[in-house]
Amino acid sequence: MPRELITIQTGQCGNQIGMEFWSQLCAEHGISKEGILEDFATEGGDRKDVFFYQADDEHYIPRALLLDLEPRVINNILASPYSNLYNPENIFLSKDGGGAGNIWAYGFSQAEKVCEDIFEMIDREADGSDSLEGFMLLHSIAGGTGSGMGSFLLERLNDRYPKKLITTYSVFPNNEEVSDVVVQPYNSILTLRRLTNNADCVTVLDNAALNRIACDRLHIQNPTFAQTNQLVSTVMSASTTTLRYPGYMNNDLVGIIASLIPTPKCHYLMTAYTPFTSDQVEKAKSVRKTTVLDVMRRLLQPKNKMVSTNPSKKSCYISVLNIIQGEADPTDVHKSLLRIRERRLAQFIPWGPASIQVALTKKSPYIQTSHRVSGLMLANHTSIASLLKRTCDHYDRFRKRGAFLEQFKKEDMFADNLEEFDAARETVQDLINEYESCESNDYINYGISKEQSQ
Amino acid sequence: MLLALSGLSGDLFVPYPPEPEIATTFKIPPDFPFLHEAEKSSLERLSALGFYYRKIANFLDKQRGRNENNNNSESIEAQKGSNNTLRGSFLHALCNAINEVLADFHKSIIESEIRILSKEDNMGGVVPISQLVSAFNEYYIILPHLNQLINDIEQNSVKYFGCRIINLVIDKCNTGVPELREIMLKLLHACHEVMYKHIASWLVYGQLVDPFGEFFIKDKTLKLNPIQIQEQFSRSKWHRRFILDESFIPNHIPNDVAKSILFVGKAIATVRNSAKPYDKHSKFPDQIASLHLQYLLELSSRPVFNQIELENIVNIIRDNVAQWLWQVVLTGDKVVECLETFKNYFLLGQGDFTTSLVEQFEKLPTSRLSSTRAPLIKEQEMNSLLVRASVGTLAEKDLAFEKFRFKISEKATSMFDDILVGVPLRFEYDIGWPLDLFVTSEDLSKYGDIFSFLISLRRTHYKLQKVWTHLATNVKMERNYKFSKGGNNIMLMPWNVRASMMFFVDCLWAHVQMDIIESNFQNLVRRITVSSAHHQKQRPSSTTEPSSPISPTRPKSMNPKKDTHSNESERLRDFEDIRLGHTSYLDELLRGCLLESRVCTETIRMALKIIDKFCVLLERWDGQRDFMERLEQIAKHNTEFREQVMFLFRTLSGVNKTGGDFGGPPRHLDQLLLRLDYSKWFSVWSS
Repeated sequence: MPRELITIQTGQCGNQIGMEFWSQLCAEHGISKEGILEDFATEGGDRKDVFFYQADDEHYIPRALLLDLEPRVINNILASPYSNLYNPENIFLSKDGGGAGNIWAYGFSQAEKVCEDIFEMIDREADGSDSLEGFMLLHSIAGGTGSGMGSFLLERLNDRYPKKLITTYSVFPNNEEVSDVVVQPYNSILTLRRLTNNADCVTVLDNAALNRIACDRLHIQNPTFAQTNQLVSTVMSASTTTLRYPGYMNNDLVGIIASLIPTPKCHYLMTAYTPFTSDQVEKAKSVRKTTVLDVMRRLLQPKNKMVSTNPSKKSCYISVLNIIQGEADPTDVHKSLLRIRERRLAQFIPWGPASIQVALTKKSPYIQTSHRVSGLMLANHTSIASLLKRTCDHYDRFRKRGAFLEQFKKEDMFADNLEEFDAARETVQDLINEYESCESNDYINYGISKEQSQ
Repeated sequence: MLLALSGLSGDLFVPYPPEPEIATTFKIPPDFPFLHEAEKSSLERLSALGFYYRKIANFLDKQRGRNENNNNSESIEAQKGSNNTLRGSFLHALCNAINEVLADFHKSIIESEIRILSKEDNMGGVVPISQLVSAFNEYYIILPHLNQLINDIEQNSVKYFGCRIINLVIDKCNTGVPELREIMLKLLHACHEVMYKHIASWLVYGQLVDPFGEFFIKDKTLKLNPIQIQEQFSRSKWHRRFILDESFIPNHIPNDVAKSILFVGKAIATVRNSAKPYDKHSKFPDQIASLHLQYLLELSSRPVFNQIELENIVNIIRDNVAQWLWQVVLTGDKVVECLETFKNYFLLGQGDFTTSLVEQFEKLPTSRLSSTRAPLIKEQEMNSLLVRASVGTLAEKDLAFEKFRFKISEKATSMFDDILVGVPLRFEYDIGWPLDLFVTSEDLSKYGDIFSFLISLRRTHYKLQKVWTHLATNVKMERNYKFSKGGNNIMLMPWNVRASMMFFVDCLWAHVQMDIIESNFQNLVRRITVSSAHHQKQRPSSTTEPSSPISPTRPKSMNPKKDTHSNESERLRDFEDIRLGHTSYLDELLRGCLLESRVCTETIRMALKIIDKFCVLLERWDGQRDFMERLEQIAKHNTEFREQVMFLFRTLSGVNKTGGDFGGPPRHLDQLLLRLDYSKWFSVWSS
């Protein structure tokens, strides 16, 4: 049975990432832009049915829902060579097409209004799966549609499919720069509450870090969103390789999540990827030949991480999974693990056993790459709290001044009071606290002490 | 006198000691007159020769008679039943050789007679005894020894049966008496000729013409009727049909050579006997066969046996045959393909199928799995479950997958056999030609052991994943109900216990799959591919341009080509080598899975059982009911689990430090310990 995943892409960012993701998957599985299997794609050994289904006419169709409140990005997709790839019934555009105006509250309430239409699509896709494993939400937490509509969907999916896994690829705003979305701290906090309470696993992609990688690692001045989104799609496709090329390890989503996430709340994963080459991003400089040790060592370096955090001395890994693609010698893994431990390149939690798990997977035979091995790290690291703290700091500054709240108050949810904001802020604070307590030995009793004190 | 020499007794020379005792020689009766003591003893010595002659001749007659009898009689079977082992072509050959010696002796007698009668050496009609003595001088030595030889054969007929006669004759050759040695060498040569005939028919035609079971290669089907043969030795059991009886290998033939001989003949015999018509290549090329025959004939015609030359020739033939098989019947690709199939299913390398299989097992109603009602589980049911599990996975379209099946066995072979359904369940593969060239049923049984272990591990792994989903669902539901509260009262203890169990299973799984299976597998495949490439390269040079047949430079082992030299030690030469390589690969896997250590196996089994209990407990719990009681139970499971894992950790660390009884440096333990104790959590806890 394939363990199918339904991808839900919302908003401008979500759909842009999605577009890159699907073109990447098509290339890896030898599926043409029209959705037809290429003649050369005869190797087999891959599972296309996790992300695609086959229509009667032998077309491969992504299990993807394209949702937006404004038509620009989706129209771009429909004008692209990939326009015939998607099921047109899975595209939702709001009728007025005015967008969410970057207001979470508007996105949320709009989603509520069209809830039935959207869930009709979701249910149809779910019914079409043999053994649905879960949902993948692609969105940004800063804008209006991805954050607001995304939040709404997270809540509803939770109600409707409580036993299905919900994972997200969430793009965090670059809070080192002044953004044109002024209310992004508000949007972020409100979305983070849903990500904390309603998602099983959140892969954090930080635009600040993506820009930094594009500049430093790939030498692109002023990278465009399209370019940084390509980085995201690389991470997404790499993190799903074990599902699409089943080997002896991690061939279902729960296998990855259940090992990476020991406790329910601390489910924010950071990623690192190496090496990037010109195949993924235009004009990138080629990277020299790599070994497993090189890859595993580089994955631990902050400069390759796709999240900008400020780790403290106490910061540590709760869990790590390295997905190594390509022709890796399994004995190299052991040597690399040994070297990394000898050099103390990674600190781990004190309250339980932890290690760097490694999964070796195939590389798509249809994509020529200049390097022998490449690697993706999925890590649960306590320093993610520093990113959350920064978001909270921004939010607190805005909230103190009571700036830009009018737009929110227009919606029912915030018309009477701003309790929703406070509850969200509290949830995020709890999350930060829990991540910090993860760094101490007492975490093992985290729940118990609370329980007894209550 | 001369009559006595010819072995006939008379008045003068009577058998001594007289009957009823068994005669050991001729003697002149003590009451015989006219003879001086000295004359008497000389005559007696001469007459002793006559006695030996008679005895040997009798023996030969007996043998010949028997052999003729055998040839004529239709009741060979009946004779076989009798305990008389004094038969066989080796003995026959030996007898013929002895007969030649006797013929010489007889000729001497006749010559003497002629001389005496013709009074050539005219001494007045008196024949001095000394003259006779000198005429038969050499036989004083030879005949007693021959007599000794046949005595040995008669008395130890089992010990010196068949090929083993050669040993005896070689022993006899080791004498300081040149005449004797010469005779014995003649005898030896006769024996070798027979052996060469055996070897030639076996090596060239794959036929075992050995009605007396004298050759060192035995056909086990010999004593069975054709129906039994069909049943027990179908083509899949070909490697069992012919065996090497080491007690029959002459001492001067190294066991390796004997094994090579066995291999070549086996391969040719199997191809010849197989009912299935293979492609046009399925017959071994006549050209090469006659070449081989020529080599062997040349060898056998040599007066002196040369061990090294035999070894060379056997190696050349073996290489040629192996190459032919390698290219025509079972190419390296096929071997690798088969190994991959085993890895995919026996070793659970194909993840989607494994998960699906475990899922199917978990769907079986638990009531049916209680051991008291074990008979409820039917093999048929298990096999239809296997098919269901393959649906929608990569296994569905894999033809090789159809040959796998489950079998419910009476008693467990490995400690993990009964984990899945409560009764010993074995995973098996129906091996067929030509894959059975290198896979034995022992190998398959080892695969079965590893499968039982791995599937148990994966099942526990799966359960822990399910528990995660269960816990997460509870938490998410709860959060939704208490939407506005946003409190943090999630009980983390069960989560942490689950996480530490998951960690253990993850580590073990990753270690076994990656450090053990994958790395050993890659290594084995590399060796086979090197070998395969080597055969491709070798073919034109060694089979189509035969140079001087007996040139010691031909075999590769003596003159390795430069480009292959580096791989020589690693390279697997043919199926026999691959079979051995494969078997040692499996042993490596068994060791790596800790299945060779009872202590470790028991500990892991216990740990998995405890995890299972924990999972069952949590699956049936909504996170609210009997809260404190459940927590206590979880804590208890956790303590038990930790005890087991800590014990395992300490045991392995101990073994690792001391070098241990795992044989050789236990590198794999290093790897497992590194994975488990990566954050030094275990070493801190266990100290």
